[in-house]
Amino acid sequence: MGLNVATTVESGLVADAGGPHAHRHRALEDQALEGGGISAEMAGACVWSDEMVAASGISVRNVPFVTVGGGVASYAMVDALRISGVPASMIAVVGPFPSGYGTLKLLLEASQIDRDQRLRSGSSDRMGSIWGWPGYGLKEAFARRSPATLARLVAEPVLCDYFTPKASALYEDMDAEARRISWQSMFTCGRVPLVRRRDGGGYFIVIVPAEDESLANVQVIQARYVHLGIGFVAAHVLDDMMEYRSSTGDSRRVVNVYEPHEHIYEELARNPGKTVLVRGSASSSLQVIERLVRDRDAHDTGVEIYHLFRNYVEGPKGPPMFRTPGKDGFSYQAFTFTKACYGGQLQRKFRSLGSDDERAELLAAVGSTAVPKRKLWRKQSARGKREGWYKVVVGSASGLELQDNGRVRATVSQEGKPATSLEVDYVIDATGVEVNLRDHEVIADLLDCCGAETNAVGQLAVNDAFEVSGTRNGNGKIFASGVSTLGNPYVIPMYSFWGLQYAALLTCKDLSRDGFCQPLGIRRSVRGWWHRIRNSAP
Amino acid sequence: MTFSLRGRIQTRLFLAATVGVIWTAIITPFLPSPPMGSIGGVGMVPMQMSKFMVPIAVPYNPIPFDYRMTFETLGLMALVGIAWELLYHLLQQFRWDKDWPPLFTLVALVPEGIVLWYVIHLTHVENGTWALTSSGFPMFAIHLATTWVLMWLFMVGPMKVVSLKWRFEGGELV
Ligand SMILES: Cc1cc2nc3c(=O)[nH]c(=O)nc-3n(C[C@H](O)[C@H](O)[C@H](O)COP(=O)(O)OP(=O)(O)OC[C@H]3O[C@@H](n4cnc5c(N)ncnc54)[C@H](O)[C@@H]3O)c2cc1C
Repeated sequence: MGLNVATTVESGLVADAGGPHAHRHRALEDQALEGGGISAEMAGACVWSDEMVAASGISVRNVPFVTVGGGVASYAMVDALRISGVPASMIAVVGPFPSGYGTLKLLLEASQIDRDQRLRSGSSDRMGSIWGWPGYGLKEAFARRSPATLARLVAEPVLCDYFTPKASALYEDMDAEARRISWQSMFTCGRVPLVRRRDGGGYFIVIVPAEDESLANVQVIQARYVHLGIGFVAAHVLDDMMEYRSSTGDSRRVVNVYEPHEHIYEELARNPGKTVLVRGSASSSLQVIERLVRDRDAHDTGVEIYHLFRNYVEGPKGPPMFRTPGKDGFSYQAFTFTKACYGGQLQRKFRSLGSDDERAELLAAVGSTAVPKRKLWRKQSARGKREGWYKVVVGSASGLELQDNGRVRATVSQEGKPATSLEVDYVIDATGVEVNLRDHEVIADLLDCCGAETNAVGQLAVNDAFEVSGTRNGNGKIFASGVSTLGNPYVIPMYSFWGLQYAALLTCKDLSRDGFCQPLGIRRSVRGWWHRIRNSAP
Repeated sequence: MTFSLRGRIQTRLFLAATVGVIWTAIITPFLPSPPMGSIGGVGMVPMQMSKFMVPIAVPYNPIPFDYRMTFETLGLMALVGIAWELLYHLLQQFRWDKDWPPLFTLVALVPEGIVLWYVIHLTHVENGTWALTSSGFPMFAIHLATTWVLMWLFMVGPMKVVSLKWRFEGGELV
């Protein structure tokens, strides 16, 4: 079952975005593995013995904890472990980018959030410090000597919009903490196609090093614990776009917002008077429109924007106690999920629900598409409507065709009404992406070979320590966090900095019961924080 | 802040018992002491028994009485606060985000302060007039406002350092 994150996820994509080594087709994978020192016998065996691996001649390292992905989820996990007293020598990180935000930065930049643009999480959602204090807001207020920023932190979100940090603040913070916890010494640049159970407990993690595309130098790590933080890699664009692309061979005019698409803005600047259809009403659509309008003003692009809403929200909806604010087509909400999921009463309720299905239902109710109520965005669309270059279209996107004149015809259908169509020059899709768990090589293998199970929303089933159900092997455990564990019994906003840090803490708690790390009680927490403030090793 | 109901109550009690107690201990001697007699409570007479069981007047030292008043006020703030938290939790239900912005907590000082002023009269922690011209009012107001702001500052910041659980589980400490 695929999870259509179109409506639920402020999501990411896509083949290229996951880095040069991230997304591979499985058939290719099998071929490659056969050529890379792993025998057919090994590829077929779900449990590997030490002898088998030794006989293959592949070099084996022994590291107790390995995290696969090297993205934000891995970063949160490693940071929590280091603060809980685990030395760097006992942890390995495998991923395509040396910095924890490599993939996120690509996705942010594609969706028009460069270093100076602001993220969509709050001041205390601080990746470089699990305590979240002092937050990004306080730092910015002091750095810029800005009492206004300070006042804003007091007044948000009542008298003003939430403070949100610039992307650069996130990168700098993550770099600083990475240096402090010796991230580089734990990092191996590469791709993990397989994780196998080890006869006698623990796992073997197969690594294809990045510098050696030939796959002749496959490495193996033997580990007691594995953590999977593989992000959105298995995401792909929606069906109608796939169809359009395969029938026309054109991926220049029709793009997903998370794919690099700077060429569109460049072409618009060169040829004024073009038309763009922006599909979807998630915040990434507004980020794109912000850029289009900025260019319109700066370079006189005269661009006309059609904005397609599947559900046009006229006003607040829902009963008084579950009422989503809304206007001008949008539901409003500061962050990707309602604030209450971040630890509040909703989280408590979620935890108490008995079944996976009930959880899936609540998840759908709180995860509907909503955008933050930013003044700039509201002003821009009001001006666009007044001046006639911003037009709202309501309906579902249902087909794209390339016309002879080089323009794209987009069909829009609306229940109970005849379908209409629009002719535009470019289509930027911000309705989401499809995430199919099975499309990801490691996960598919985990499901087939390691006993992993799926949950009600089609993602990996995990317990309340984020251990992947069904994968335990002797004293070894496999953990996971990120979008692939959406629908877990504990953390609702699974793709947020906060959610990833929380998941990491829950895993650490479990590991401290195993004796692998120290519990993070008051003393260790305060001491750890002091070390972070002083920038001394944990 | 996104509180669960338990989280709210635990947070208030914790802050009162830590920041509140420490600050009250520090600030009380510096507060404008009301004249004798306006302080209520049990055994309020500034006298002491001589060893012959004859009451003798001692020179008036307001400090112990001030302490009793400030600590009893603090205790009542925490206790009455539980009822306030129930009300806030109810109001929170009407917010889509089911959160409680820090600003709400800060300005709650005003309604809570007004109610508390009456409560300390009802419970005879403070005697004398209820009017704001009461000689005990400056002490009450300065004590409550400073304690409140400090508790608030601690809550929006260092609290997360003390307890990671607090940060991730709706303000719950246990
Ligand atoms: C555009 C965008 C904006 C966002 N903004 C915010 C925000 O403002 N605030 C917030 O809290 N959250 C935000 N999020 C959500 C979330 O915090 C991020 O998506 C975060 O990066 C998720 O972390 P992750 O580790 O799960 O995925 P990633 O950071 O993408 O990391 C996963 C990594 O694993 C690698 N990988 C996958 N498979 C393998 C393999 N087999 N072997 C080796 N490596 C592999 C991938 O290449 C990737 O580098 C945003 C998400 C997106 C897409």
